[in-house]
Amino acid sequence: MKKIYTLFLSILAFLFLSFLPIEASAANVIDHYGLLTEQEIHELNERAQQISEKYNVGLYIRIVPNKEGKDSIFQYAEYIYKRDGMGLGEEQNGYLLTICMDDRSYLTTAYGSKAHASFTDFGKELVESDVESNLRSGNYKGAMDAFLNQSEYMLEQNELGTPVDVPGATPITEAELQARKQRQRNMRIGITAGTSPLASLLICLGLRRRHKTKGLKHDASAYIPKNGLNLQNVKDIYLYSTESRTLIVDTSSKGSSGGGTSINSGGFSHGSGGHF
Amino acid sequence: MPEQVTNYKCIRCGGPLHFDAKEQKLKCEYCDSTFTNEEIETLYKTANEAAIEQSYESDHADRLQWSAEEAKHMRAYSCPSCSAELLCDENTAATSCPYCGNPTVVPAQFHGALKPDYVIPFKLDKKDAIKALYNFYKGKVFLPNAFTDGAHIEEIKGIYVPFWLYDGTADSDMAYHGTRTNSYTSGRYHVTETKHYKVIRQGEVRFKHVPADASSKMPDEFMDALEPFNYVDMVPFQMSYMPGYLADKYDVTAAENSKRADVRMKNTTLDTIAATAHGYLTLVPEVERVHLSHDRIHYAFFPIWMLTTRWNGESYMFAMNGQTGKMIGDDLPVDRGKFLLYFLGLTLLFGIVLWFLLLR
Repeated sequence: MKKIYTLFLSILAFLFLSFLPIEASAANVIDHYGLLTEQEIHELNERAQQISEKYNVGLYIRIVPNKEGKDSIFQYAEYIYKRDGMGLGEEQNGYLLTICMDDRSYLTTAYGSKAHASFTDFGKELVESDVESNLRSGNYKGAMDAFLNQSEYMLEQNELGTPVDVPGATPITEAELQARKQRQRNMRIGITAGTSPLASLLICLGLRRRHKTKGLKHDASAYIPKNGLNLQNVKDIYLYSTESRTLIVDTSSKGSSGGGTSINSGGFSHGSGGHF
Repeated sequence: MPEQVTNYKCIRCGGPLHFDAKEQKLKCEYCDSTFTNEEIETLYKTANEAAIEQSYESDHADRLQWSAEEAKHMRAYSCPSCSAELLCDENTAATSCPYCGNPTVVPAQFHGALKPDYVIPFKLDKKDAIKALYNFYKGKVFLPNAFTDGAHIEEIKGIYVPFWLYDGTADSDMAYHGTRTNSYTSGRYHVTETKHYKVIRQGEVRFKHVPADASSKMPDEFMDALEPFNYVDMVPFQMSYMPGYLADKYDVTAAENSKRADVRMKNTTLDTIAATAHGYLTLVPEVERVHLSHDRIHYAFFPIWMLTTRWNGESYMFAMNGQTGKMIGDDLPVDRGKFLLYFLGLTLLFGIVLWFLLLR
């Protein structure tokens, strides 16, 4: 009984901690590579904070020397977004520009329904296009300014109800966002209702197995004496090789070329990214 | 047809001796004197040999009083302590007199081909077995509370169970198809390269003392599950380890039992050889040939405590390894109410935790 009480209290403590609001305290602009001067970082930070607070969508820039072991910049961007606690509000709305100096790659990433509505696939392409041209010309500060300026414009257009999207595409409406939330909620109910009884049943069956202790032995490994294994012929002959290739972009978050925003299963949407 | 039996008696007071698991000596129940096995064996050796000769002669004459069927399955002996004439199973080798309680050994069951090569003496006594049974109930959350409280021990007995120990060699000839993979990123592609190999392994695996119980009365599932026995304590057989415990001679021959040991040795050979193929993601057997040959077969007595409880009209049997203390038993009953309660409680807890994890 003592164990059950302890387990129950642990779960209550976990739930209490879960309810505590998460403060987004991530710095807006961080340069781990030294591409910008201190003064430039200070200026960019002030401007990013200003826009973030105005639209309640965090704008972030991360310049890093490498992807810390991640396979792609897509995975890395999602990883640091969560790790560094980026995003504002309950939904952690935010838009991140990641610049990786080991392969000179860049990518923009959005999270949260307001960010997805503001930064459509088309919108992200526009931001990235502007950023890339500045990066290629070596105007790094200019690239960051372009990111903030374009982002502010996208956020403003979304506030006006006309988010930047492919010409002729229908902007994401509030109803569509609600429908998406409903779909997510249904999925959550499905996962919870399906997984919980299954996990409980497995644990209960495991506990029930303790009631059965007798059984025939099928192995005799305990009775092989020291040096009881004597191999006379050991050969590993190489025969042939096969190779399979998977397009990384397709398995990440790239969406269709139509209007709207393509959101992956992790809740992120990405631009195309690229190299400079 | 009373057979000659032996009571080991105290040299000092004449009281019955039994083998004490804790002291690993023969101990007098009355004056607490202790004797080593060697002392008692030497003392009784001459007397036993003479008695056995006499027993065989009188057995032939007395057998005429029994039907062939009765004589086939029963043996009678006279208790040297109280002179009661007792009947027992044909395989009984050590027992105790139900009238005076004296531990008794039937020497004829340990002579010639029937003499075990080895014995592992009892290390744990009756108290240890009872304690182990109650510990065995712990951690079984679905056990009805009434079972723990109401199932009383009906019978508890220490038995030397006969085992065949097989020494053997398995010659093996194996071939597998193995694959190794290497993944890397090339441009915008995730590339997985798979290398295919033919893996050949030929050799032999030796086995020493693979046990299989030689008593048809003992369930194989129980005896197998009580393994392992620690062979460090195994000593050449001496009758003086028997007093105070029950013992049966084997009634399943080594040839009949060898199939059980062979299956185990073959399975282990397949696994052991396959384990020498390192670093493969997949390993599919293409050729698996194992040829087993027995080197020697030994006859040994292993110590087992058997306990019986009764609950709700059903009998439950348990067994404890008298050397290591490992306990196993019949499938214990499950309280369906407790099972349902645990299931619902855990489902609720998992549901709440998962819901909030997915919210984040």
